[in-house]
Amino acid sequence: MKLLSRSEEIILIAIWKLKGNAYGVTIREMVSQLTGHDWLFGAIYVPLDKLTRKEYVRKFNSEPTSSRGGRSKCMYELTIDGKKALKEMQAIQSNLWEGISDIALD
Amino acid sequence: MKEKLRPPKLAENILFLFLRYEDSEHRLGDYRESFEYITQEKGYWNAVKWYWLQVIFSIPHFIINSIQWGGSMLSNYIKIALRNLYRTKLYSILNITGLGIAVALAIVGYVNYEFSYSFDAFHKDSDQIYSVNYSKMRNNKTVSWSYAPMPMAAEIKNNIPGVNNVTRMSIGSGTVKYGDNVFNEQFQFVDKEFFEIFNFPTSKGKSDALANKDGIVITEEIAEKYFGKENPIGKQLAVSPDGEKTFLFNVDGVIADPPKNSIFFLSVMISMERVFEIRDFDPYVWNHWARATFIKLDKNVLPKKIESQLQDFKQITNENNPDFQVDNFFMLPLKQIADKTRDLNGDPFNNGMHPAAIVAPSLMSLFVLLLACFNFVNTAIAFASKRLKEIGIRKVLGGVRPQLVWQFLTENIILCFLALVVGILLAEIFVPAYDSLWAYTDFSINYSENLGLVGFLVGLLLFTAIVAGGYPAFYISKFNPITIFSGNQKFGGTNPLIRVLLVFQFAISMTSLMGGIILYQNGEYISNMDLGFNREQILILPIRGENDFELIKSKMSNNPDILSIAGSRGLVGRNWDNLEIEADEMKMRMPFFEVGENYFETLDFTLIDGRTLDKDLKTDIGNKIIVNETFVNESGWDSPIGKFIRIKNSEETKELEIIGIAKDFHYNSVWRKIQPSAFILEKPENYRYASLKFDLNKIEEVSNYVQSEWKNLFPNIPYDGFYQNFIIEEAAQITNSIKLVFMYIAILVMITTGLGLFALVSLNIAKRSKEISIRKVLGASIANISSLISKEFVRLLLISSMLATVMAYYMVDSLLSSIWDYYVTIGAFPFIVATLLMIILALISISSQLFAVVKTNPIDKLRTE
Repeated sequence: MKLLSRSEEIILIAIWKLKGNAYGVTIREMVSQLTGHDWLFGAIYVPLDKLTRKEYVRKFNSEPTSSRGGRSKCMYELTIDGKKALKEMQAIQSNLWEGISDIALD
Repeated sequence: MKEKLRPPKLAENILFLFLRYEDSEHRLGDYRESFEYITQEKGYWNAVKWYWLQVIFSIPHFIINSIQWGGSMLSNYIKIALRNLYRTKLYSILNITGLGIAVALAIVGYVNYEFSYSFDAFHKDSDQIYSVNYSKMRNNKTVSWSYAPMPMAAEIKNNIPGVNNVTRMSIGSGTVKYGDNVFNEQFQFVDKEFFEIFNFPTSKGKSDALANKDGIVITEEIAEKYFGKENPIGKQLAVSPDGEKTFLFNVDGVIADPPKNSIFFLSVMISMERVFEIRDFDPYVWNHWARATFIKLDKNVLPKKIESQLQDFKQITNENNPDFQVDNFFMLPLKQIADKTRDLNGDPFNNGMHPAAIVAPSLMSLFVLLLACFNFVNTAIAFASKRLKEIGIRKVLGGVRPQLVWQFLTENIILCFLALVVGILLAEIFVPAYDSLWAYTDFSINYSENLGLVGFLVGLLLFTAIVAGGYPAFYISKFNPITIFSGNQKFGGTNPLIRVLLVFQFAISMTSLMGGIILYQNGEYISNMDLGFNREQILILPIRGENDFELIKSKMSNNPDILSIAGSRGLVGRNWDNLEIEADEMKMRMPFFEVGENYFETLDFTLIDGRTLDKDLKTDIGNKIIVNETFVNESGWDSPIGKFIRIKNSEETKELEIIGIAKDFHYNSVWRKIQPSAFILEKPENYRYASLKFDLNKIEEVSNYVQSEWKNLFPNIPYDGFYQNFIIEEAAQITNSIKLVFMYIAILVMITTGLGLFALVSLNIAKRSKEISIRKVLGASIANISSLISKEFVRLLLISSMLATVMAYYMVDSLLSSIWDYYVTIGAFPFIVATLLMIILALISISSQLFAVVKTNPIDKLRTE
């Protein structure tokens, strides 16, 4: 598996959670909501492009809508590889955290 | 309201440039959707703010991303850009040279500024070092002095918490002898803490040499002068501070010569404790004053707090100095002292550069840089108009706007980068050349220590490149290919931006030209200025009293080239006594020149009324005075002759009778306004100077004669003669340097503007070659065609000339009045000459190219397609 960077992982999760309604605006909202701080579009698009190149996500165009100055949306969805990668990441995560129940802050 | 939902257009355009073309639509849409949402939630302006922040902070992400994607597009842009630049070698070279010269000038301006604002910056914690000074009110004006009472230093250190260290400094002069080497030197008496506060690098011996009061510290220059190649450490120097007593000192330390941007003149440093023996006074009395006192504060101590505590010493100071009341003690940060020295009486420090000499060149170089940038933008825009067809074809073949924009930007960025390289290379020549104009500077360029400069230059050039490339790029890339090919697209010559920039460019170059001419006139004015007395024919010898004077007089008056000899205690331009006087209700302090026989006549002062001082009248000595015109004006007396003024010194009050009025003369260089002053007769035993008037044609012979005669008369005293012309030396030097700087700048500006005009005109002609050919075929004369081409330029030039006249007048006038109290009156001449020169320059660059057009057969031009 091609290892994912943290932001790629977060975005992948966000797309999965959005279930078919993933495009720039919603991804940004979801990611900001998940991490608790505001993300730049720039910081979303760059990992998105990388995920696209790694073929974990694929994009398709929606019909143009009037609310966006007549511009169409680019929707993202996970590929089979993308879902696999997400599963593996989850496994790695739980391995990493195994046996640690609570981190004492001090 | 619907229109208000649009995000800012410029931000959208910038964003568009950085998005990959195939993604740009969706992504602009994403931004837009969020923008609309925020507009609804928080209002339009918050959304605009959000949009801009998003764009600005997203760009770095996009740039990094595009680098990771591989720079294939970039290398493509660069390749095409280089081809284009090579194809149009002439314009490229003209542009690069013009901008390069301006960059070099900007570097000079910056180095000049940097030098003058880094006085004594090399001392450790230099921002914690302050000098202690005092001020007092006199005639409603605050006058500041660098002095502080001798015992105050120790009191400050012991009683004020937060003061880390203290040192005093006094200055004296006398002879120093080692073997056969005898020279007059200035001494600096300092406490041993001087070398703890200030870090002058020690080159030999120990740095705490002054801990031992028989020790002496000298600079490398002095070591070389007395000891040559010998090791100076441990050698004994015989010092005679006043010519009578001699003290022996061991050289314990040698320090490197202070840099030229230090306020300290250091040569021979002696322990402060010796000054009390030499001058024979009690170190603990409050009526002796140290020339300067420095304190170093602990970290994070507020200077204002210390300053308020200094006021506690006012009482004891004033009790001990009834004639010399202190109103306020104040502190000056070390870095500001150089700047303030001109306003600080006591003269302990080297002057910083004159403020005008710092500001004027920096400002001018900035102007030239702007001018070159305007010029660059102009030619780039004009040049782009030649490429309309290329752009049309690119668009037809599927080129998209971001590609076109990046292409233009790359070309201009490359041009600007080359100009930067040329500028840096030229600066290697310009900076030393500029340095050699000023006596008290030592400029060097150090890019690694001046990242601000590098950032400024790169930023400015990038900005220039973006404006120069961006305007045509955004504008032209919008054109419809069909209008381009059908020849209906108008662009270039009639462009309002080009016109505005041209007017500014001409205005700046004319301003600097006018400035150059005015400052040239001013230079002539200052160096030929009538100071109210003869300054050119006078040679001055420092002497010690009547015997020396009589010796010189009896010997040298035999020489026919020496026209007359005068003795004096004071010296116009250097030495006088400031006395507190009272005349009627008026109270003031004014300079008294204690002159001796013949001084008034020898220096050709002009007597307006009354009689001169007579050395044979015993009653004249110390009782009668000659005042200057300004005194008469200020006193308001109609007939001052015979009136009395009172002077008060600590012992007695004395009445002085006015017996004559002298025409005003400049006694303190030409910087300062003439103030009331007076001559008073001095007893021969107090003469300190002999002034010799000589035949100006025999200056060499007289100088040789006086020097050899001096050796016979005073074999043990070094010859220290100087010319009265010293009085205008600083002024003349600065005037001359400013004059040269402005003239060089004017010439460089002319070259830059000439190059720019040349490029513009040739583009204009190239574009109109068909029109011109048809006119020729129809029988237009050369005169018709030249007026056709030059009409617009000359019109713009005339508008600029009016703008420049106003700008130049105010700028130069305020520059002159800030430096000099007396300067040349600005007439119409410079403005007319500058305008004419620029018009001639424009006509030359137009005609040089018209010539080529006129020579070609019109058929060749018309047949090309």
